Amino acid sequence: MRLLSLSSLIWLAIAAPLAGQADSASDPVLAGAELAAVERLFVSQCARCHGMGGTGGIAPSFRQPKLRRAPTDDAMVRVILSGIPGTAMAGFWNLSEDEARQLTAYVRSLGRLPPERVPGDSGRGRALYAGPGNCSTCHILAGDGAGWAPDLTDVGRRLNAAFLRRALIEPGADQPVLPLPSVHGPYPAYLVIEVTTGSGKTLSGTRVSEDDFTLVLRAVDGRLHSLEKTSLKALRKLPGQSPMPSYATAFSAEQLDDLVAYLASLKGEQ
Amino acid sequence: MRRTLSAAATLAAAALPLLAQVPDARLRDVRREPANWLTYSGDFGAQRYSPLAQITPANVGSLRPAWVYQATESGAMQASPLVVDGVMYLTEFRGHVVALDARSGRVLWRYQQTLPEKLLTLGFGPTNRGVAVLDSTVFVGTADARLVALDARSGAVRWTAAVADNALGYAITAAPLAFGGLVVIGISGAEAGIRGFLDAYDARTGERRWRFHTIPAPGEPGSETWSGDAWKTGGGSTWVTGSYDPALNVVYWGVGNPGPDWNGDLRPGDNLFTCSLIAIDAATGRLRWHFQYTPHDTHDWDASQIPVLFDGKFKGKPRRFVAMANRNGFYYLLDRVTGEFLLGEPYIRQDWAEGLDPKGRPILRPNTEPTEEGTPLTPNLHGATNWYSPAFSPGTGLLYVASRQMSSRYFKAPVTYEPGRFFMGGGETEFGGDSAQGAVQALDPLSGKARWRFPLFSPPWAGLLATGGGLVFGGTNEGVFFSLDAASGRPLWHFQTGAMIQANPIAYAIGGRQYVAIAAGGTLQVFSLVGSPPGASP
Ligand code: HEC
Ligand code: HEC
Repeated sequence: MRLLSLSSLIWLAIAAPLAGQADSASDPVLAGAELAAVERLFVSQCARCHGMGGTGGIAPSFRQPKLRRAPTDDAMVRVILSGIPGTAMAGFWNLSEDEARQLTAYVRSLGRLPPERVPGDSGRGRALYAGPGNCSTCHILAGDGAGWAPDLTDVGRRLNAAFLRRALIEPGADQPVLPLPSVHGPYPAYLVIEVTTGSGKTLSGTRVSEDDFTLVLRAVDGRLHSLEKTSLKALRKLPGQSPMPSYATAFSAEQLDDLVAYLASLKGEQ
Repeated sequence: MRRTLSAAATLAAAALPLLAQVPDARLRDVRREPANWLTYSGDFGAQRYSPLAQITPANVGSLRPAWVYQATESGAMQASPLVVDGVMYLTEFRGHVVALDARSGRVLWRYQQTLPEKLLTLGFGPTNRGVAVLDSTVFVGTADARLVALDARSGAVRWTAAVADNALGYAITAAPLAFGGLVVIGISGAEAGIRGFLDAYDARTGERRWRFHTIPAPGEPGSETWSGDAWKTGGGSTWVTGSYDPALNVVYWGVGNPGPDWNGDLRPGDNLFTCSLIAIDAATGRLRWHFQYTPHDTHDWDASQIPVLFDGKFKGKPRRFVAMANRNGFYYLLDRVTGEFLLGEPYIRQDWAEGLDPKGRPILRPNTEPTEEGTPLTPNLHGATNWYSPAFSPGTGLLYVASRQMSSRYFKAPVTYEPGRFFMGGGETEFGGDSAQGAVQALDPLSGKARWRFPLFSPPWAGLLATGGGLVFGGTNEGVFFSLDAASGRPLWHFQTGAMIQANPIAYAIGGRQYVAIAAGGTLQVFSLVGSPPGASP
């Protein structure tokens, strides 16, 4: 029980993409004593690497609807019992299959949004998306559009209505995160960086990749700039900024409702 | 005729006594043969220093790949290779051993490690950090807690010793330390509630010569720092290779965290000898002295770092030192003869201790314990540094440390011991991303103050090498192998290896050419200067 409140606390403490995520208590599959038991199991066996509440650490975060190595529940049970060869994810062969199934349900619940009723008309929202919103000049959705901004194909599974609305009104307030390969995340995936090059030119764009010596920026025109940090005169990181325009005034409150309804309906099922 | 001749020659060779390839005398005097890298840390003092000086700040810009070895087992290599007279001994993930021609990278032999299907590596995976060599034998620990001795020329097994029971979570990831007819090996498994120890085996027979329990049983010295049965699951792994002083015949070894990690309620007291440095008499396995860095640890701050030995003057008096940049955020200088605490200074921004008292015991700040709601604290569980090695240059007199600046929220949870399962009692949520950084720091070892620091994009998992050419080599999570000026910290060269680096660099030479080697992902990458080096043999 205590652990329950603990996981929601963690949830408030860190800004993560699945904002407004439900307490796992509301999950229909796991409840009561069973939930408490599996949560204990998770804390004792998994949190070491996956973080308390599955927030990530040296191992991936579970706060996402899709897991690369565990697309189905059966695949996840296999991952838990047999591990992932060549990684620190050793097989938990000493757990029972039952325990592995419960852990699977629990891990899934961490990445799932609770159902919610969203006002607005998703049909009208769709028209705004395709028309005056110009959204597809940056976003890709079910294969259409420009792909450098987040893929919105299943955004309704990843983000709740409040979060979606904020993304439209205050872009940059919440940043989707990018687990840079093999590195402790979460890194904001679209951090805006402004640099002054050796020749005095100013460039700005979103960070695609960074290490101690190199920086790859994507400028607003979509072009990539591969830079050596030592050759730069200045480098400024601008957290909170976004290349996405705010739609707070461009659209009426009703239109925003429609757009949110449309985005919330995008579940990625083909 | 020819056939008879060659048969006779073979017979004559067989009749020769077996040459000891690396007798103890060579290991005691490694500085006389800088072309080789004969122990895990390069020398018994664990300085990870190569006197080789062909590669310098002036020419390191033309360092290029010489060859790459691709592991056959998938999984990141964390091993520090050895190089003996042109042969490199390396371990892959899961502990396979390969012998390579160190000039060309071609495989000479391979020892395929067989691990049981039901393997327990609770908290780390079946990684392996390298081998030891003594006489004509190569020694390797296994993830299922055995110690194996291999013939250095063929990889054939000479003997296998069962060190401990893997079913209880005991495992070996560390490279052994071999000298004077002994193979000293440490154990992993504190996250499974083991009772830790340090072992020494007879190098020739594999018989155990001594065992020092890092968690004392009731009645033994240190047992007053435990209560009830907590000692039985008290942890105290010895999972990072220590150092050795041949003159004193003492082994120095770091001891890991107590079990359970985060819930200290189950084990009131200081919990000796966890999070301590132990000085063990190599002849008897008895404790000469100990120094505890973190009494009653509840943040998983193992003292599983490299104890670096060097000599010098402290306050005008000549001393023999043992230095450790500890996971808890403080750098410590001790007298290695007596264990006397000389000095301790924080080397990252930490917020759990006001400082150290005159005996070196931390003065705790309030409310730093893990709680059910979570306690934010610095450093995070992976600490201000970790298992990867620091380097000490006798040339600059500086200690180089790859440090981690990262915080986390520590949680406490109820826990009961179940054999062969995690036994930790809590966890953490780390503050990662752009809020965490790393650095390579050059510490003045006699003051603990940083002379320079080179910032790193993210908290590193790779060790450092210092060279006689005046360079420091290191690696990053983002896969960059780099070189800094040892005097100033100025970056001079870097190379993208293609995978996260979580290993320690070494240097060696063949035919007058200096090489620098580092493992990255499933590869070992070896570099040398372009063109033929002056005086190189063809
Ligand atoms: C010793 C560290 C460690 C522990 C403990 C651990 N894991 Fe993992 N786990 C990993 C790592 C590392 C990966 C990523 C492997 C990869 O794909 O490179 C992973 C991956 C996974 C994945 C696949 C994630 C994806 O993105 O597809 C699942 C599911 C998983 N772990 C479940 C668990 C569960 C459940 C437990 C507890 C029973 C657990 N793990 C305990 C290290 C750990
Ligand atoms: C100029 C390019 C651009 C345009 C036009 C644009 N966006 Fe975005 N959008 C982005 C970027 C970049 C992000 C990443 C986060 C940030 O910087 O705020 C983003 C984030 C989002 C997110 C949050 C996604 C996530 O995974 O966190 C949503 C939802 C979204 N945009 C919807 C829209 C809609 C709907 C429109 C049209 C009405 C639109 N965007 C127009 C660039 C754009």
